[in-house]
Amino acid sequence: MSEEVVFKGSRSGLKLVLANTVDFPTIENLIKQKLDSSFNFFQKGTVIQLEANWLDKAQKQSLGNIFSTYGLVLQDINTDKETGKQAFPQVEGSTAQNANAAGSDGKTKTTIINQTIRNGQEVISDGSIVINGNVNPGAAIIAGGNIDVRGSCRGIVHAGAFGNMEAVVTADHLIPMQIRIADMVARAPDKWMSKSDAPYPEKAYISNGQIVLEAISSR
Amino acid sequence: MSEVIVITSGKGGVGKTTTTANLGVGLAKRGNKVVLIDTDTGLRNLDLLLGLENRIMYDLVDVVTGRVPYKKALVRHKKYETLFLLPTSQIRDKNSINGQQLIDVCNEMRGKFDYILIDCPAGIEQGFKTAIAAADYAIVVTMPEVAAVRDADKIIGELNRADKSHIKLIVNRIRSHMVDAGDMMDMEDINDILAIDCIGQVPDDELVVISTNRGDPVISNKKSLAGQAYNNIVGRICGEQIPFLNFRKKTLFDKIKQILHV
Repeated sequence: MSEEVVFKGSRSGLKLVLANTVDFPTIENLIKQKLDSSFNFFQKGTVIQLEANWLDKAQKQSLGNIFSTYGLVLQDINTDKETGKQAFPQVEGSTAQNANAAGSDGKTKTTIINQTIRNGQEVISDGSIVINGNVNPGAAIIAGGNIDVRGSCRGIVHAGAFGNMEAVVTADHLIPMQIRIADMVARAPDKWMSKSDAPYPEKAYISNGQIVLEAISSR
Repeated sequence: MSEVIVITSGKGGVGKTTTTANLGVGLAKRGNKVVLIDTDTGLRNLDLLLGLENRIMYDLVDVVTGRVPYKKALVRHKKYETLFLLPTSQIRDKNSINGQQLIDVCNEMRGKFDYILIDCPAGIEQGFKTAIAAADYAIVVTMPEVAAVRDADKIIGELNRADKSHIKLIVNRIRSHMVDAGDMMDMEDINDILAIDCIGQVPDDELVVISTNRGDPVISNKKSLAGQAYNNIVGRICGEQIPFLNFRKKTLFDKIKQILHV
């Protein structure tokens, strides 16, 4: 549900994608809900790009205000493309610079989630993520830093999502659909994988241009 | 005080309606006053499974729009005196009822029945949201099959999101010979992924199809393994401790496994 409001991670940063299927007040509410529920995921000053060219200026302005109450910066990429200036319409240039700086050393931040992430659920953070629970098939974990799953990891995990090649994924049972690190992807074998295929904790990282898995003994 | 239970699954065809009908009959046979609410507006089936189609006068849409009081729409079961059906409309669609309306109807019934079972439609759209709104707890029905378990997982996530944390699991239509051959997911896999309390394992049984067509739920057929499994689930809902049925025959391979402790 609420597919109308989606935060997407890409190498250029976080993007807010709005569908043109619901009216503006609903969108505002959905955004507030999302920000309330994922308040700790975004570090203060994180820049989020807005992708919805059907919104008018006043609506964009009011979205920008919502984000600034959460300490976040909303950047309109359409404005950028069209006018080629005023990258940060809501804040002065200096604040935006600081915000950028804060966003880039967000690797130190760790989000800890004490529940199972189920099919259709998504966790996004620009720092590292620790899941105390399972990551089920159909779920996605996207982190700017490392990902650690203290349970079975069966979904899609994307560590170093903003280009960090050093990022690692660890899990007690590492049997995901896909492991993505920075811009590399490794997928699961085409057979049904069960827990017995990964009986001990493993770590995935980039080595010599490919994603490799390695058992970890001390845990 | 009555308990309001929603029976849901996400995926279609796993046996929500069959489960609702059987649990309803089972609870009523134990002397409970039970009402079954069909919320699958436009695709109603629960009346067929109970053999009550020809007795329907009014439906849930009439009740929520205030045309008739809920008592007028209730259909008493022909065999079980304390079992009632509140059918839904076959003509309208799922947008004609919202969650608040169903909560109001259930609140009116609370205290007058021991159990209120809500049969949820497949999917996660309006019909699902309506069905779960009034429930105290949810029973998720699934099958030992990748797609059904995947959808059950999604449904559990959606239930959690709607602040329904009391969730039980029923695994339906288990074909033990296929599980043994490794062609179906086994209970260990399912429990590991879904990680919720399982209150029933029901074998696939041809008698279910026969009883569905006759309009007499399989739970009243003592010869049926599925019927026994449903009976046990009813017991567990009532708070009894009943071990799971063992409906697989022990093969030579099992015995060897047992000896080797693997």
